[in-house]
Amino acid sequence: MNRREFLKSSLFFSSSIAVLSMFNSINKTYPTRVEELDSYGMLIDVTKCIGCGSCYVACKIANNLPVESENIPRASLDLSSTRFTNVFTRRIGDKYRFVKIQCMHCIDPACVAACTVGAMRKTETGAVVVDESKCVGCRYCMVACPFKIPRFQWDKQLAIVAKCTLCLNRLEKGIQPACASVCPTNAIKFGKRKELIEEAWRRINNNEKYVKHVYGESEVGGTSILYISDVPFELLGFPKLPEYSLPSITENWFKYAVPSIITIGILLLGGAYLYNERLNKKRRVIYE
Amino acid sequence: MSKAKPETLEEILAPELKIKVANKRLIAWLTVLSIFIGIGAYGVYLRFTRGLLITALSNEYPWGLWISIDVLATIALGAGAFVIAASVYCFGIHELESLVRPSVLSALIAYIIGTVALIIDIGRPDRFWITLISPNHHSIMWENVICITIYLMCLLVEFSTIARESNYVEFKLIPRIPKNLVVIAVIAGAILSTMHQSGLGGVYLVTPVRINTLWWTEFIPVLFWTSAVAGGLGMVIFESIISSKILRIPLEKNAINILVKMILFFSILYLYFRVSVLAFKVGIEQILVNQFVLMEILLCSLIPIFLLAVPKIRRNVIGLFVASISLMGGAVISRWNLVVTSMVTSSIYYPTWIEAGITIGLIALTLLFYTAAVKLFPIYPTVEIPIPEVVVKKEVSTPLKETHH
Repeated sequence: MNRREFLKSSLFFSSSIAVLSMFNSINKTYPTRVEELDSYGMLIDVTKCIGCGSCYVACKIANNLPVESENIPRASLDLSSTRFTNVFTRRIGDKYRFVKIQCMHCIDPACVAACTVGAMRKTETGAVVVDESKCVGCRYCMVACPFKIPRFQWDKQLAIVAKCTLCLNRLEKGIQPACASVCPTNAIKFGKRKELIEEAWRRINNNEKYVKHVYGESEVGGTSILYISDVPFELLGFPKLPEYSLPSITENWFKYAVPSIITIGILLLGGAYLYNERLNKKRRVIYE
Repeated sequence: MSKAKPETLEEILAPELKIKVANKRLIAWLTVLSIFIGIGAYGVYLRFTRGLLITALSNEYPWGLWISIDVLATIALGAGAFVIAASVYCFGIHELESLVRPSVLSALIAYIIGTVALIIDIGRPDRFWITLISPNHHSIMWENVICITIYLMCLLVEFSTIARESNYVEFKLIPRIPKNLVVIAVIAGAILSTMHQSGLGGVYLVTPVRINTLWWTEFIPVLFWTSAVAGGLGMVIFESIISSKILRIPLEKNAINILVKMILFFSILYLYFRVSVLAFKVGIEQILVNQFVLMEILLCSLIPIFLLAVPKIRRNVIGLFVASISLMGGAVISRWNLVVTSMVTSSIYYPTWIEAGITIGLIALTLLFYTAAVKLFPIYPTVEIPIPEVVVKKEVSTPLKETHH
């Protein structure tokens, strides 16, 4: 290997090292990027839920969703593009608990950051909704969501993603979401998120039976829907989540990795090209 | 594809019998390809009439075979082009010059097929253009789509210089592109490639809780980039071995040697990052416990490193061939693992026959495009046949070579 060859190859390899080192600028600690909006939310008290399924029916009516065939028990139906919420039965030892599942309306939602075309958006009310005129059905939100909530219209030819909207059309009129309005045991309490957190801790501190944790207060940077329970949340099937918001990881990618790839790329490749051009010119002069 | 013209040309230049055999082989090859393409086309018809119900995709597995193999792996295997083009045009490694054309061609085809597969996969194929006009500046997926779109244009610019030399395409149809613009396209192409080859893995950065801890790391982009470059270069070696056998042209030993060095470098980088991530996150013993992780590491790095680092094996065509297949397989397997294996919970995803049929159809379409392009454009030195009536002496050379006179 002569000197020139060595120079060339070392230039090439050092460039790739440089690009790689740039990737490391993705931090390992993520700030919780949660601006406390004065948004709405719901507090769901698992101890109060009797699993009647009123919320499920109310959701169907409010959102004009088709009704299921009568033969299938409601509690066995998973969420779908025509079923934005449902109450599931969980058996813990000899106890039964009922957990209402719907979109958590995260404060910093992963689906909104993920959505390729910006069809998912977080409204001022706190609701995270899909813009049906934009969604291309890439299903990245389904991959990104830590709660596995967005559902694809698998049975349609031209299909998009659908999910709970926190009854945005009702919120805009000043009415609370359908599910909260019909709950017979007041297991679902609608209100401002801040007030709901205070309420949740008041209930926890006043009653020994509650687990000392408000699920959704800090999970993935906080969610609009909050849960309190007398059974550990892991046993109810809630995923254990970090306290940083998931989009803060990709934020670092756009803040550090992308600009550094572009600058290093231009400097290195452009520099190498100009250097080689000069070398070639010099050699031509010598030959002539 | 116009078949009449090349036949007459070849008939003039070579003994009659040889051509008959070659033509028979070509016809058999095209028949096989068109059968598979037919199967794929029927699958696409079913997909568009019945929707995604015909797939095994579900709420547990939003992405499956098409995204992992047809989009991610195909695009990864097209990564050879930007590395080779940047090495030749920017770093002045002229030994690789003969590989620029095949790699640019295969990248162009790979990216076109990848885009087609993506459009088949999304729920609203009629709306795919919305991705170009409705940006989400926080979405890595959007960044990838934009990078791939612009890179496709860069590839077209690079390819136009080849297409202009073709005997079968009207000159005036293809605009003449000045050399400076080609260099800009190469530099932009390398940057955009680095961004989306890593960014396609970066798509999974947002899923630390959703996917298995064996696969989620902050270094997914690095792993994707290194395995794509190694796999893409492996693909270039694979191509040149196959073409040297079929077209009976000698293998470019110098070029291959340089490629081998690059592959070793990137494979070792991949190994370093993959193993250290595993060691720090879940414990090094997981490599042996989980067969998928083991397969990924073996195919992406350990097997090719072993085969290429030993000079005796490296100089042997079979050793080289096995190493290149292993690299390509590694790139494919690592994508499959991230998209499907890492998502496994209670249910298991098996692609349906229709899904597999479309994938096979797309692979056959890739091969058909490649065969057609090799026949139509001066990709390999011996394929270019001067037209006998008007003997135009045309040298197969990249624009850069002209500066050497």
